[in-house]
Amino acid sequence: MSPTTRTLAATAAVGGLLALTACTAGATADSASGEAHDASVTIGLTGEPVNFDLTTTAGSAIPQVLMNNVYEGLVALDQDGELQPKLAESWTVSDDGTTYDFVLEEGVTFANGEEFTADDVKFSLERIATDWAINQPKMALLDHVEVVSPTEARVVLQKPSNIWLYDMAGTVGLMFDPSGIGDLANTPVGTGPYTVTERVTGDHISLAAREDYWGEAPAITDVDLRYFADVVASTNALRAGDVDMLYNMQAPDLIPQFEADDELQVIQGSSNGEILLSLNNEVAPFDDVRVRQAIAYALDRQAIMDAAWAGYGESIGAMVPPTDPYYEDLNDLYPYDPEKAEELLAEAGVEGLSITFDVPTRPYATAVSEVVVSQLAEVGITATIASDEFPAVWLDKVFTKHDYQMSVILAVEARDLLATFNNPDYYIGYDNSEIAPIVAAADAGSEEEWVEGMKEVAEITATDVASLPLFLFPNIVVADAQLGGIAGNAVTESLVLSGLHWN
Amino acid sequence: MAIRLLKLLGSFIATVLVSTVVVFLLLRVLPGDPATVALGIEATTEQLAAWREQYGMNTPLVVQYFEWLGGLLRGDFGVSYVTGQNISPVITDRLQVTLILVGLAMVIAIAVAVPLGTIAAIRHQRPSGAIISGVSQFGVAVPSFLVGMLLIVFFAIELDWLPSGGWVPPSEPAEFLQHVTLPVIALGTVQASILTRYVRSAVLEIQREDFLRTARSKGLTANVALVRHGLRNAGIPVLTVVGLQMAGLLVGAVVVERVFTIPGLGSYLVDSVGNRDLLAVQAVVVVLVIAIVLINFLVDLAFTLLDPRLRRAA
Repeated sequence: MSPTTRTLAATAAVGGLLALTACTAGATADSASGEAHDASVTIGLTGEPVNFDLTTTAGSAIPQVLMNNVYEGLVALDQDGELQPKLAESWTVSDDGTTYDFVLEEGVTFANGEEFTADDVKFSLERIATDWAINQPKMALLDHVEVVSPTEARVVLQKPSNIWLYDMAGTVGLMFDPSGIGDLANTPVGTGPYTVTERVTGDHISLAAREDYWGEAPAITDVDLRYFADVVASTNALRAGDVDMLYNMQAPDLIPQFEADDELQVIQGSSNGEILLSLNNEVAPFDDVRVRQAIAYALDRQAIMDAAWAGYGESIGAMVPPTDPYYEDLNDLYPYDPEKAEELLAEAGVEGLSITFDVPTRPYATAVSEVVVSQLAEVGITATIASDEFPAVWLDKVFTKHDYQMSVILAVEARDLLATFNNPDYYIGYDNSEIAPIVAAADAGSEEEWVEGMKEVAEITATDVASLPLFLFPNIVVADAQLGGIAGNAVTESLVLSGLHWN
Repeated sequence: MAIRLLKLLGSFIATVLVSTVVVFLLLRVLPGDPATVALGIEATTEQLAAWREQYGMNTPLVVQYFEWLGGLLRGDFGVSYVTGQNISPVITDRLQVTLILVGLAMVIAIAVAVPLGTIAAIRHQRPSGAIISGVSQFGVAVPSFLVGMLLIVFFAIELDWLPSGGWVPPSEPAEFLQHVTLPVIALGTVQASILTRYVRSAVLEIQREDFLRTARSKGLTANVALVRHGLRNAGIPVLTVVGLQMAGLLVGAVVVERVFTIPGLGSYLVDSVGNRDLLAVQAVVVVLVIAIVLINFLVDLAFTLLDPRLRRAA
């Protein structure tokens, strides 16, 4: 490495994040893949789990580590978002759609040595209504579970549902053992390929492969998950070779530099996270559909994505990512048209509009908000930014008390179209009596009817601009070029480790 | 001396008590609802209520305060309702990390600043003194996190000599030293620069004192006079600054902890405030108050050792 590049690197650090992109390729990682690899991987993450109890603690940090790695469900989603068998080797659904017969894998044991049987299916699913503090609605239509034999479990629902089995691939479908739930916050016990061996808060979590795992043994036996509060610190660790992979990297400005480096690979995976411009339908001026539509015309969403997230991400026209079965391209519903926006504002009688824009303290939100404010100014809307500490203040003020006009948030939940718009009490306050009957019919109908119904809901809410999805957040993974089997698509909250291997 | 110690103890207890009331009340008026932060956006009203009930948040504030204070008196900080862990061992771990970091940084700062500051003062009219003075002035202006980032770029990324961050406890000495070197240098150099300024001005001040002129007139050379009679006197203002620096670093080290991802006390405080882990925040603040009062006490004690007049006054 020449002194010039070194000086360049130093200058870059002085200039901070933006200037780092100016760094030449030669100044980046020189040791990330220099040595031979053993069966271990170190992964850099942001957002550390506060504990290990995903039955009482919200957020994606815990399932990111535990789901599919430590805990497993009867079914799981593959990288294309398709349902696949896991602990259930097969299943059949009754004609009326209320009874699911699962045939379970044999020879499965929990990490504490207990055998996995149909009794555990009954225990795990029926426990949700009584013991879980979150996500209970997802299992609300469960009637009961019958233990037909040790390897056969029959799940009976109160009514047919097209969403239930999909939800079973999430946290509510994970299998627990009655003797393994004594200390969920600190000692998770599941059937998965890994167990947690060490946790140092503020630093790392270590996982080790189980020798008695029922399925295919993972190639990587030791995984260290290191947590970074600072995104630059995490990229430094990658460049220094201290971590092998950064998952869900939050500094898109740095990507060109990583892409130019032969020893690193950059994967832009999909996610379920929509950057949503939340409009409070309950209060002026957004109780007027024309003002909401004016906002949609006033904003150049492609330009927002380019400026705020370096062009990484995907354009979406509704609250539905392309990986969902009921996706439809609605991007052209509201093309960028500032003149039309001004006309609509005049029609609504709100020229010279001033609004408050509640922005949570998150990198994506800050980046997006500045572009939004300047674009709104061009159609005569003055948006004043109010910064809300995230999560505490934002959740309290915007989400719980609905004390806001406009906000922006990364809605990470999978298939959240209905949660967001089919509930007038939700913070969006979108109240459209048209939707509920469509939803009810769709969920009880055949799969085709469900897809059609959901498409209809997506189109209605997008036309009404119930709120405005700006773009789909990318799941950016930067890793050592020799690391294979990276699950780049964030189809669930989980970071699936079992496929990783060194090439 | 006994009376003085009793007085100190009394003011110590009063300070801690007042601080417990202040931090308890401040956290209760902080915007943000711990239950919502813990249970997230999908929680129902009933679940939120049940959570508050479970962690005793529905009882009157006075009752909550005295329950907490009772625990404190037994040396028990309680169980965090965010992490489900006992807070006391976490605090012990985090405090140990920060004390090592801050302690080593201050050792470096003092080791560098005392000789350099003294030289800068003695040679203040010569180029060498001016250079030291200028460099230290520059060092004061550079924030420690920036020094940290530069160190990472050079020693971790370019040269690959040392890890870019993380923490290993001293029980593994080799690994520990590798991990602790860069953050300690980052913290230490900036503190050394600040301290150098104070040492320099303290020594300059002392040189103008009558007693030094007297010492010189007895036939001592300037340097010997300074070492025998001057430095001890210059030590008093310098010690005050060292005490302030240490107290400030206990939390102030957080910026360097972030750059090097070190699980110290400051990081714990920042994370706990973010998670609205009120019991943890309260615990950290109480520990900090005690630590700062202790530092002040030690500085006081050191004054007494340096200055015989204070001993007689006591």
